[in-house]
Amino acid sequence: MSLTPDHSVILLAEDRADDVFIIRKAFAQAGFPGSLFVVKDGEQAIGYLKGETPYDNRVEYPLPSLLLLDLNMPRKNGFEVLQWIRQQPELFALRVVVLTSSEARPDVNLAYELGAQSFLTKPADFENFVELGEFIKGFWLQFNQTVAAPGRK
Amino acid sequence: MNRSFGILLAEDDENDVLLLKHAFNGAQVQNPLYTTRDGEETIDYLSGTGVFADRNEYPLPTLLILDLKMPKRTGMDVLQWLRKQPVLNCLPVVILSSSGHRHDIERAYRLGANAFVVKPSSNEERGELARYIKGFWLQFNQPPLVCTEGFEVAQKLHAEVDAPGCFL
Repeated sequence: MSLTPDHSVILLAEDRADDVFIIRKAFAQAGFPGSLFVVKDGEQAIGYLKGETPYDNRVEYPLPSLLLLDLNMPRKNGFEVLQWIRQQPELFALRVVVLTSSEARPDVNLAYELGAQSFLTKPADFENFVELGEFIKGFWLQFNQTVAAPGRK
Repeated sequence: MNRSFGILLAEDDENDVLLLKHAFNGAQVQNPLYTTRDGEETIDYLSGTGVFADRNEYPLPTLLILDLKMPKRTGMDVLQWLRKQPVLNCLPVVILSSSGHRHDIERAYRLGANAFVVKPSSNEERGELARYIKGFWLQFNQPPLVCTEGFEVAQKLHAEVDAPGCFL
């Protein structure tokens, strides 16, 4: 399994189809340069990051540099995914941005405690989603540096 | 965006401080920018000791922009110290380094840096970075409670949630 993160690849873990639709559309409008892969629950997110079937082909399903993570998802929720990620030393370079409709204060802190790099509340309208898409593209894809896990290509 | 949220810039190079201030002004960043000139001063600021004891004058920042090569204690030392502090440990940190050595990026990420940016070399690029820091970190990102509600509230909630602590 190749562990080389692809700088232009984002993995979106989101169970709500309408949110996925809006995010895809907003990112396209923001001129997103890379690919956006979508998983629909926490277990799928972990499966994708592990490179398990059906995600075992890293050419087809490249390792992302950024994970956009919803918190309320079936099977495994966002916190459980965060907990799993921090137990994988080879995923140290994966940046995790929580994107949720929750504004509960304890959720914010717990997400940071579990190793999320950022906590975002889903914007209320499409314009703001596009704006957020531009900032994610600019900050995380353009300026932020990524590296591969040691000993890997 | 809450304009009272401050940014702490830990940078020993006077010139780099000026350039970044200029870029932030250009991007119309309204948030106050505080600066420290070495690692020790940065730790003093964050822990609110010595000359930084007055939190009204030197409030906890909502974002730390941290240079790596600094006198007394390095950026890595500051990061390592910060992540071990109760309550304060979740403060978002963007490393701003003159080099993008693979080894530095890996070490910074393993020590808990949120992001790692190589210092832009042109005014144009610096302006762009300022705009994205403003948009992403100051406008959209929700900082941890300690930044928004202060140390005591965050500490109380921290105890209730029984959180495991960042990067322990």
